[in-house]
Amino acid sequence: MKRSTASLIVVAIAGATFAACDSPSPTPDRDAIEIFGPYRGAEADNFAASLKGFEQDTGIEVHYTGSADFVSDLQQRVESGLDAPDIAVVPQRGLITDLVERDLVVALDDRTLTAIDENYGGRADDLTRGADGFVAPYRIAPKSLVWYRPDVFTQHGWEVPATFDELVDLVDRIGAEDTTDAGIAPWCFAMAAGTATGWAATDWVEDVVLHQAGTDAYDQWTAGTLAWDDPTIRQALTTVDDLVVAAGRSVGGLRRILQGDVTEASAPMFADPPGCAMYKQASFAQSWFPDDVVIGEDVDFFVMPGTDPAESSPMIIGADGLVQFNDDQRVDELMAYLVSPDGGREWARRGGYLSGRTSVDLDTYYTDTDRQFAEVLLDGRELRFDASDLMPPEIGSGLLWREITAWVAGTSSLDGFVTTIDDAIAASDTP
Amino acid sequence: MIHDSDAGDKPQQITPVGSITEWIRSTWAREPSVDEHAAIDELIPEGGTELAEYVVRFSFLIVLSAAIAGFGLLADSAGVVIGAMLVAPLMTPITAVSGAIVTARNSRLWRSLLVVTLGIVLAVLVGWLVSLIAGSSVTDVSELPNEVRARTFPGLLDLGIAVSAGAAAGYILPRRSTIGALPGVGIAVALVPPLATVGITFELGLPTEARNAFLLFLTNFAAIVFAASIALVLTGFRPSQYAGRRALGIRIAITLAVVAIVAIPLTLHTLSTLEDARLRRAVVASVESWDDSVRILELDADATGDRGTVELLVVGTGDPRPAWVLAEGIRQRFDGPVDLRLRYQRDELFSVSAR
Repeated sequence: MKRSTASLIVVAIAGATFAACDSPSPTPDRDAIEIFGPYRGAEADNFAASLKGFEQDTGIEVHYTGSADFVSDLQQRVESGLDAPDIAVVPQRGLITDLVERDLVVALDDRTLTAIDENYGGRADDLTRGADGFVAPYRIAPKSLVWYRPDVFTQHGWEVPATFDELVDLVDRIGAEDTTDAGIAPWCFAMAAGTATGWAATDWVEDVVLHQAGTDAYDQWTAGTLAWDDPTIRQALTTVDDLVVAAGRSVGGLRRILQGDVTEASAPMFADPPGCAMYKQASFAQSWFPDDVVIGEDVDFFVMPGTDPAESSPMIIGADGLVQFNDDQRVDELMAYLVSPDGGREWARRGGYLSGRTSVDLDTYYTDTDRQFAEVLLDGRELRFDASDLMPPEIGSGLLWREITAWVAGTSSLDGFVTTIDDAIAASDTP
Repeated sequence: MIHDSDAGDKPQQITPVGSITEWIRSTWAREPSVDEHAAIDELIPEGGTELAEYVVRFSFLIVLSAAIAGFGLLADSAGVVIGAMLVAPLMTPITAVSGAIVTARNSRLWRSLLVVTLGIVLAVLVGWLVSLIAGSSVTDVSELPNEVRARTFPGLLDLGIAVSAGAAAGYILPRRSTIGALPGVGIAVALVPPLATVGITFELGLPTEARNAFLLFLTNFAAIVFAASIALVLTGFRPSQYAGRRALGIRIAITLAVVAIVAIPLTLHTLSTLEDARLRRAVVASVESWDDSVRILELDADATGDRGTVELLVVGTGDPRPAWVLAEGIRQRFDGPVDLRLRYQRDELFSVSAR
């Protein structure tokens, strides 16, 4: 016992002595590879854990830094020309194409391009569109998901719709029951998210354009050849208004839509009795569900249906791509590693990670929950990037959010809204 | 012969080492005086009405002292809490435990331990009641008064204080001439305030804080018993007068084992505090090299495992430099992953004259 006390005291004294020394002054590690991205907290841990394999295999140190102000920070770093990281993880496709157009990123090395072909196969084109040769796919998230409770659907005799029109009919039916029956609204929807308020509404518009008007119209719209003022897009906006925003469509009405926190939007669906029948949100919404909810049992999802019941409906995805700023062999090596299954393996094991890789075995690579999303992502359906991520960041992650919020709130007209966005896009296209 | 005669005439020379050895031997062989024995034996009466009166007096003082401590803690008043320490009668039965240990008298040991237990129960209960009456304003750990919070994260420093104070108690108690120093021991090593803190934090629904406050009490209790026992042994108290010498070794070993057990969480707490301090230094140095024109207004640094979590409020005159630069600086200095939340306040001076 005396010995154990003595050793404890030795440990304590050693600790005190160690801590009493001054913190080592930082000597910038010129040899370390720097990655910059938007992942913070647990996501940063998971990404850093996925880099460990590379560090162990090569002995090259990799540092990752994630910022909440990622877009403006990256633009500042790259434009100054001094502080550019070696690699950046970028979710905004519009920012990537902007960097490519301004010649601020380096072309991917042959090894990376080969790795993309080998690991993404036919998916590669979808995931690198707009920046082919400059962006490597890393992580994707399915967005066009409609969450529902199978027990509630069964109880009311509702069925999962096979087409967009059937979805509209279902909403009408639930809406009609709402006035006479148990007070259940068709949708749970809330969009308050501080300075980012509005993004949930843009997601709704994008899904309606894609699933009501189809992929061609969506592609023209995101390419800028179909204006917001075009009848197709105006119809989509009117549909969103009728389907979700109008009185009786969403639980709590316009007040909750505007003031409810986006992360708490689905809460009424899990209440007893439930306050809403459906909730449209990306796969990441699972982290906002109550802890004890099991996906596939307590709650399930379907992909928002399109016009043709015979075909798999298209899906909007959020996609994080990797771009390279430093033409260095070690950085090339890390890019090839990140494209390979090893680059996401540890994160996939921990959960909350999906990729478009066709080279991995879904059963062993993903967690049980993620596998359900991976299956709908990789079943051959058409994938499209989030339209607002494709816009210049100052519009897609700023003006659009503010304007759509004003339109939903009724403080600006449909005409005013579409004209403002079209004018801003035209101005950004003018050099 | 000459040599013999010289040796006989001169007083015997003792080397310094020899004199120290001789002193130690005489100290070790020292027998406590009758008065010293009486001082220890009289700490708690043997039985009968005297014991009953003692228990009533003890309970009364414990309740009052815990009430003073409880209100003082919630009022965040160090002075009042010190007052409670002077009223607290717990030191007597605890040193009686030491006396019973070194003299190996079991009935005295159990009697003293029962009195200590009674004190613990009463003090915690009073702390709980005080919090019920006056603690409603506290709804979260962050709102705990500093005096309460200071008792919910004991470290090795607390163990050091308790061992020193315990040794002082063991030295003072048998020597009635030094009894005036005893209140100092009570102030140095608080017994009732941690127990009142247990009751307060428990009533506020903060079980971790309650457990840590009780750990502080246990630390003080075990260290005092151990150190006072050693001091009494050095004063000459031995079980030989009453029982076998072997009994002393076993009892001291058990006491030491308890000290070692409480030292484990204390060491972990201390290491964690040292890591927090290392992270704080890394943050302060990084802020300086990030932008030497800003001042830190608030800094909350928590190092858990190898990870640092930093909440920082700085004030500066210009536009803030990018936060990621600061985060990378902290990571390099701290040499571990860092999560930083930085708030930047703009310090602007407007000088206006209106006539």
